[in-house]
Amino acid sequence: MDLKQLIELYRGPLVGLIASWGAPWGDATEIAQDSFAEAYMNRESCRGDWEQPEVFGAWLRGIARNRHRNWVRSRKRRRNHVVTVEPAVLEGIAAPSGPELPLQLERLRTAIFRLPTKQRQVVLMHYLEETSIKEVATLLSIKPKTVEGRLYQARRALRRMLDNKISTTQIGRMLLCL
Amino acid sequence: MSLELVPESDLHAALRTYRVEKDEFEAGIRARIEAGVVPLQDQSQGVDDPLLTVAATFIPCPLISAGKISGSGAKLSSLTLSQKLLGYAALPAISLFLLVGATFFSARKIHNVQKENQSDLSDAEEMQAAVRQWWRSHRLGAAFVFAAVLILPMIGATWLLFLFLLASFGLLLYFLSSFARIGVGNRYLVGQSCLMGLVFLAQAMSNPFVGRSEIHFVDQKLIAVAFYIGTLILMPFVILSMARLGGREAFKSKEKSPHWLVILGTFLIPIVLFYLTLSSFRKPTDNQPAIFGGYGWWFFAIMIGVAVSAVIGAFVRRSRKAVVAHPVALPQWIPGVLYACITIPLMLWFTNQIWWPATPVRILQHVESFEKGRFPSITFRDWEIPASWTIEQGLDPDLSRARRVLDNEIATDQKMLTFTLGSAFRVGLVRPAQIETLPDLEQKRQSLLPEQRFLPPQPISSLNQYAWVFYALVQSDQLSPEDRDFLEQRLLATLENPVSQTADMLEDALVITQLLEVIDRPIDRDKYRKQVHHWLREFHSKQTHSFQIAGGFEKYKGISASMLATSQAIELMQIYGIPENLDLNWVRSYLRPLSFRHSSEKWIAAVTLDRLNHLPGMTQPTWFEWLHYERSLVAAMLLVVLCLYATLSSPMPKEEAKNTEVSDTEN
Repeated sequence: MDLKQLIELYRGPLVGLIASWGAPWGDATEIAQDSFAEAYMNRESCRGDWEQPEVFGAWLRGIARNRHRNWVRSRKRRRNHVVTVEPAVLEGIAAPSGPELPLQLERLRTAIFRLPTKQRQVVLMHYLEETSIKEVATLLSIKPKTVEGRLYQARRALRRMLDNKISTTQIGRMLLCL
Repeated sequence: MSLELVPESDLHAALRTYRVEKDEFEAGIRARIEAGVVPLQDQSQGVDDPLLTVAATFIPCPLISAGKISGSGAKLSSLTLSQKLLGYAALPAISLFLLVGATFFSARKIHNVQKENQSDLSDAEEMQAAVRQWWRSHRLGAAFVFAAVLILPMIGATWLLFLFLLASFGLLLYFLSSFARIGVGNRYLVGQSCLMGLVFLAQAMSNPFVGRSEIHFVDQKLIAVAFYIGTLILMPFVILSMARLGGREAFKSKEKSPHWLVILGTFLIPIVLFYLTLSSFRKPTDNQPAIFGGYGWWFFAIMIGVAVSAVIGAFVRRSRKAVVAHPVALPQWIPGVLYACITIPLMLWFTNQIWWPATPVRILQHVESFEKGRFPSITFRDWEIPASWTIEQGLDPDLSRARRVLDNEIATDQKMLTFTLGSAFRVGLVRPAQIETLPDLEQKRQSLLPEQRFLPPQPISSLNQYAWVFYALVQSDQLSPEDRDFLEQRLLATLENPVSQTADMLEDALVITQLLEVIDRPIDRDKYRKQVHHWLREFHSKQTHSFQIAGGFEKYKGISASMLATSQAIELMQIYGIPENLDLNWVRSYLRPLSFRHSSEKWIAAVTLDRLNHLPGMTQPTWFEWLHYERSLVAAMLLVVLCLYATLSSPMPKEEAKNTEVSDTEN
């Protein structure tokens, strides 16, 4: 597979994966682009045939993980700085971010980010760009069945959240607190 | 129970807004690949040497490039584990040497630049910002390093500290010299870093608690002196490099040169302080030695000379400025001279045991210049030890002064005589004619030799107060052979049945042994040797109670070592021999010459050390032992040599481009 095909294959799940680690969507996209570029430029260092989707997926995930760590550290450092911001930049930030979603979808989106990490990961990777279960599994180095299981659990959890129902896990935690 | 799942279509719809634009995403990746540079990529520094990558990570770039290169260097996360470990190993030296200097000098540079309104301000600010950022990022590590520098010498781990510093400084040197090779950094940078690091270490090593819990043969203040010497040698190099860095501009200022009154005040303050400190020590008082041995006036005269020349220099410069209207040389050397004015007396103070050692002549002088102190019993007791040593050595001291003091005591203050007569008799101050005039002699005789003599003989309580009675009775020939036998039995009973097993055992054992000699009934040394050796081992202390020097003998068990008890212990060893399993290097360490000792301990320590060195069977420390126990001092000297090497081996700074341009224009 060439670079174009690999980008097509892993673009969505990689951005979703990075977003699930806590990066804002804009930064997640930047990190994903950097990761693709670095993976391609250093493809000679890849153990195995990088043109194989399975090999490239695992290689890409490792690079993305390191880049995300760098990003987290640089964000901490940036927080330590007192910065001055131009008014034009502030206006740009304050501009509307896009069409408003119906209330139900807005609630669903909020609920997705309240899911447990593993469930959130697969949801974001799979549903962001309708990526196949296989690619998600390849990128996470787990079995497709596991991905399916997590997706099922996530959708059930989301339904409970939207219906304001308390899950059995939550009941168990509350009992433990008692 | 079945539960309806959230429809997949809803999930797609909820996340649709986050989808990235395909072409734009791919274009971004291709742009990165074509540029060959990935943002946040660690290869942006263009450094091939992995060690330099480490250096670039741990040392702020603007600092080593004097603000010419901005940025924060490579990312820590990109380093391998071994590279990180290497960086952390260099961290102590970076924080102690490089960053302390940088913090000080960058702030100073900004101040100068602001004063002169020059365009280099951004460089200086960049430097200071980088330094601040470094402190912020590594504050925990730096705090740990500074705490270690202050605490480790106090807990007896000076050597460990210097080991780390040496290794760390070696790495830093490698980093700096590598940077210098690629044209970043110069002698000024390295020199100022080393200078400030050494000043800090000298300050830390001036701590009075340094090296008190380890064996040493020399005063550990010499470590601080070694660092101070290093700073004094480095100072001219830094000033000269600074001159070269900015050409003549570095020594010129558009500001007015300081008024001569300012300079006079600047010099006058340390001189006055020094004089006030010196005044209390410049001559012996209360039977205490002079700290500077009478040479203090020389230092004072030198400092006055320096101050006068500084004032004359300043005056001449101002006069020249009035005639020729061009910038006047900035007196850059003034801080240097001021530093030397403060440091040199301090170094002389720390090394006064070298310039003013306790030689036999001086000990004799001390013995002969006896003065009655505030507490005669203590004064006589402390004086007795060096006095008896001078007699043993055949120096034939003139005791007339001490005799006059004793005569005066006998005539005026008989209440305290009980405590002083023992010492006076031991060194032969009391004349036979005076014995009749001594108070309570008959009463004490009856107490020692009662009419009705019970068997077994009772021990003598407060033996120290009765010691002089033995001498008086023997010298006035009032003891019959039966009396002597009875007193012998009482003394041996006192030795065998001590009142307390935890205090004064060494003193009692020594006094009893001496008194038995006096009444002509010498003790059976072989019989009591084992017991005395047991006490010697028991009362020997390797602890630093109350931050005292370890290695002496205790008067009270478990409290702290005492000079008097140590002296008595050595006298016991002269009689009973050296006990087994007692490391006398500890005792030698306790008695080593120090820059300052309380009261007349300097003389007691000196004579006791001499007695220790002349004990039968005593061996002198070998060179290996010297090196082993003085490894901290050797390491400190090595560190200073490394600093000098680093400074001298680094390239001289290139002259500023603007100077060249100016000269070209002029041509």
